[in-house]
Amino acid sequence: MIRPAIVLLAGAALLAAGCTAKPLPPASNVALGKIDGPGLAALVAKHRGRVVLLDFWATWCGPCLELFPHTAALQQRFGERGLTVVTISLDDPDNEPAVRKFLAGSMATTENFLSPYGVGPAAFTAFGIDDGTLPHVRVYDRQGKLQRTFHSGGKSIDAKEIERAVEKLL
Amino acid sequence: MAYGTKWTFALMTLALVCAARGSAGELKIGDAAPSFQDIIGVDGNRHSLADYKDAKLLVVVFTCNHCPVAKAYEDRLIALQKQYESKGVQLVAVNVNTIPDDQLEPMKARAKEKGFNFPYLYDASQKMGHDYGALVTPHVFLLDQDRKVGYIGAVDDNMRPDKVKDSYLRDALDALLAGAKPPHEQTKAIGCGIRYE
Repeated sequence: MIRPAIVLLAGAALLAAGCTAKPLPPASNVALGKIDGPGLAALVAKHRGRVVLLDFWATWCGPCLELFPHTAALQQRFGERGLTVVTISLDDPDNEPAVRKFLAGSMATTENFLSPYGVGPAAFTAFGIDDGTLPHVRVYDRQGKLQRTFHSGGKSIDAKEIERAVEKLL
Repeated sequence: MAYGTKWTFALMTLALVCAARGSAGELKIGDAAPSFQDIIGVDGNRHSLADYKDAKLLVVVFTCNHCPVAKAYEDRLIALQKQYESKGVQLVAVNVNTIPDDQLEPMKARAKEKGFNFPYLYDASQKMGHDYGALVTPHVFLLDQDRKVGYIGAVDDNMRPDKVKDSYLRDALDALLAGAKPPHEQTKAIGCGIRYE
């Protein structure tokens, strides 16, 4: 009785992810860590040798939700070539269930974190997001050096432009 | 000579462009508040800076309809206006976004639904946003009695009212009303990026 349902669900998940070969994490099991400003700097340093993309987003930010699937897809596409996509939600810590729900719905195989600062100036200061808004994307090269920053300015960031920046560094 | 003239002209143009950018994007504490004229409000009237000359302090808040962060602050703005009105403070909300949800008719509906006790203006030209250098919603510019900028930034330090520790705008109002300098003259405004065309 249960088995066909699981097979169906797995099939639907694969379809949604563009028929990738890798199994996807179950919805309830999305890994979501906590990270502060220094922690994030250490994480980028830890990934030296790989290209790192940081996607700062929040459930309250419409353009972020539009961009997220594109950056998440880059992990699927370029992970084996040396890309690590890290997502950092600037939601309130109490909003964790909604963050998890969105991540699960996005089938995100990225490394995912939630800011501990709450939605206020402290979060943007801690992560160095000077214009005070999201989405905000940064791309680091294999030496851990920041190569590109994409600011939204209230509009959606061109996902193709991010992809080009990543591919250039791989 | 012709080259010289050309270069002089080019440099003058550059200087003018830089000056214009400076005044538009980098409003500083102590600067004269950019004026505004005949901006339509949800009340159907046209509003100008001069209309508020009797207000001791004027709070210009860039906000909008669609942004969850801006919405989270609506009740706080209503409470501030209510509390500080008798002290000569006037709050004016301005929206310069032009997406369908942020246009005048939805603004009227939102103002009515929430019971805004302050004017809510719509500047589709976005000039006010450029003049003040507003980046996000909500973004606060507190103008003192001489209509100089006394505080720029966030309303407070947390979108969640139950988690607020620092009420930057409230503290700035109290300080200016007492003839003192705000404890924080400038904070980082955060929220939804204003969608400039």
